[in-house]
Amino acid sequence: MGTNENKRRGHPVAGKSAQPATDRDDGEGPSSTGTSASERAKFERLAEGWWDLRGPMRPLHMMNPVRIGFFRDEMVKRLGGGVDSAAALSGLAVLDVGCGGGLLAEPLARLGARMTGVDLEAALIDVANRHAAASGLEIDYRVATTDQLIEEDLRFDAVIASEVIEHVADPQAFVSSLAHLVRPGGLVLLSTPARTVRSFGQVIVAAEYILKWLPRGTHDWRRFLTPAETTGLLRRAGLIPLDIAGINYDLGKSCFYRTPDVRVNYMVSSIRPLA
Amino acid sequence: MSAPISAPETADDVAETDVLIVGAGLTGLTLACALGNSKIRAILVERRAFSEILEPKADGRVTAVARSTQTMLDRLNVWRSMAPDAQRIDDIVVGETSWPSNVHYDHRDVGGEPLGWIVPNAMMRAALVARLRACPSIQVRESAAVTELGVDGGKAYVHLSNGKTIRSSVIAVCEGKSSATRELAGIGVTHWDYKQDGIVCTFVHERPHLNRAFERFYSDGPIATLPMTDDDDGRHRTSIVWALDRGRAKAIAALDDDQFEVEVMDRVGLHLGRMHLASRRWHYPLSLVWSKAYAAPRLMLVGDCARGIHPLAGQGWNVGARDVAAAAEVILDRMSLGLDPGDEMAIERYERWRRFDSLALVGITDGLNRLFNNDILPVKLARNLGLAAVQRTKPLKQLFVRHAMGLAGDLPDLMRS
Ligand SMILES: Cc1cc2nc3c(=O)[nH]c(=O)nc-3n(C[C@H](O)[C@H](O)[C@H](O)COP(=O)(O)OP(=O)(O)OC[C@H]3O[C@@H](n4cnc5c(N)ncnc54)[C@H](O)[C@@H]3O)c2cc1C
Repeated sequence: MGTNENKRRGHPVAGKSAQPATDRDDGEGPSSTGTSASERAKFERLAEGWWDLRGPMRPLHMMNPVRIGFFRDEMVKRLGGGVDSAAALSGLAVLDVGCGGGLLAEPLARLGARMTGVDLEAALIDVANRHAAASGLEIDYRVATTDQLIEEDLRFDAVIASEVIEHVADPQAFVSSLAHLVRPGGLVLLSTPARTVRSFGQVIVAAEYILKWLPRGTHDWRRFLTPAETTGLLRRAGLIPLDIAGINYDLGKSCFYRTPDVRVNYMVSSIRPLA
Repeated sequence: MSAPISAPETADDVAETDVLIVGAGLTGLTLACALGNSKIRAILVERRAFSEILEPKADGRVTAVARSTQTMLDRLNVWRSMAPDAQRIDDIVVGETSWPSNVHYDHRDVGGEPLGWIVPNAMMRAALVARLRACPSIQVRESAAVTELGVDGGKAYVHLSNGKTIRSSVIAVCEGKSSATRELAGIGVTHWDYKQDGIVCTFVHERPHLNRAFERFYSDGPIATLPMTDDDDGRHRTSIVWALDRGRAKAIAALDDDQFEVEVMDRVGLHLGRMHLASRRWHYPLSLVWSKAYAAPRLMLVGDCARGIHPLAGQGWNVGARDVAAAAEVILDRMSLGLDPGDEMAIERYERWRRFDSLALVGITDGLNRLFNNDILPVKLARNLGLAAVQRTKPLKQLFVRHAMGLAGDLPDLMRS
């Protein structure tokens, strides 16, 4: 999710070797203490836009139920969350890499997960923090790279990177860093657009041009990974791919749905072996 | 009646919840059971006292429960307690006594299952309230009406006539045809007065009804006989719903019971044998109320509040029941994903889903009633030919039957067997 903002700003998300990018196109500095009034106003607009269901992030909001559904189901199935469907993830420590304004972290927290969210965009972490506070949720948001978390020796029950991998400079290094951050027996969960003709048609043309959902140029099709490439990356990082599911858009009902067809968008679960 | 499950009022006058249900008619009670079944936190507000709602004499109507509605009630663990009072319907005969071209809906056309059931409203209410009491996540506030409505900070809120405030992620308005909260939300309605009254009463009769419902059309209005279970003394029973032009209804109301019986038998025919009135006669003014929208920010209109139609098709509450199942599904889907059950995504989905179902229905029943109330001969001929065509064409008839059973269209999960 954070990725969308990253996409807009056109710089990569943390990979093992990727440092926070310096190619900002708007010259905006990171949010820290003592931000100027104009900056704050900008963050406020951004905050509004991020969580505005009719705003620029609408497609992500619309896709969110399908992604949360897959991630939740995988975590409940493999890690055994709570029995109560309203607290399905209680007791699980979950990391959301590229968390953006918190579209994924908040619902998962509401389902009982102890959430940590990282993003390179300080502005977005600011948005995320303020929205979580308004929603009465406690989420550990940080401006950090995956490498920084590894240095802290952190381990999670599940690590999620949703719509991130297609934006990183070194996908293999990125996946390996995710594998480092998950405990043995824990899950690494990904979602990303597919590099297929259908995906080109649907994601790039439909979303960006026809439906005008995403700012143009958000997605660079050549960076998309096929499902086979992604599972290959996971295996080489020592993970075992478990399941894969597709996301498609129903023009008639104007909603996204889960499908076995992985040619447009897909989600993968993988496990770090115990031994 | 012992006090229903009301929550201990805190010193604080503001209560927080995930779902607020306003109105404890069949719609609101069923929605509360559906949410309670999924352990969703909800508050049910009703302006009347529950003792009044549960008074059998308050509502003499019966409800035609379509199969899809029965499936839902079964899932909600309430059908079991209604079943002893539920009369199955195997055939529905529609038409005019004087014309041969009756349409006959036969359960054998759709695999031998009953077409539906007739359940007294009072029994449905009792079963639903009993189930509610067993749902720990549902609180009840009775004798309290909504007086003010607003949305702020990601929640909707209402002020109640008892001075309390409730804040909720989403409000399900189940207030029936005349709804103050719908008005507070700024949702207009299309109102059509049929200038008819619905007369409702129960008859006992000589011959068994053979699980058959009749609907007959006369120039001053339709009459329906809905089979009921035998009474405690083993007498056969039938509920009568008779829609009459208001002037005629007044004249009929002035008749004594014996004269009334003669009028009814005259319309119904002889197949039930001698008939005796076995209840008081209720009169309900009939109107079509069609809401211009089914939702507003953080608010869903459910049941008669979204669209109250002519009782002629016996479809009235079955569409309401589909609203309930759809609202419950939207809310449950959002909450089981940790998402806001009242945000725009949720509201949009509900609105889109319901608009289609309602539109089709209002058109069909309204058109049919006006058609049958027209005595001009060519129209009469055309409709009889039309009905004859329906009778002859099996697939078309099956579709009609499936519609009557509530099985056509995009069914919510709760209604799938
Ligand atoms: C003569 C007649 C015959 C019918 N026959 C059939 C039939 O055979 N089959 C069928 O399916 N349907 C039939 N119907 C339709 C069916 O009765 C209705 O669809 C159904 O009862 C509507 O239920 P409801 O809960 O939506 O509304 P209602 O029953 O009107 O309940 C609304 C509730 O909300 C409460 N309320 C209202 N405003 C407020 C407020 N501001 N604050 C708090 N509480 C409030 C009211 O007190 C009430 O309890 C018939 C209708 C009529 C008139």
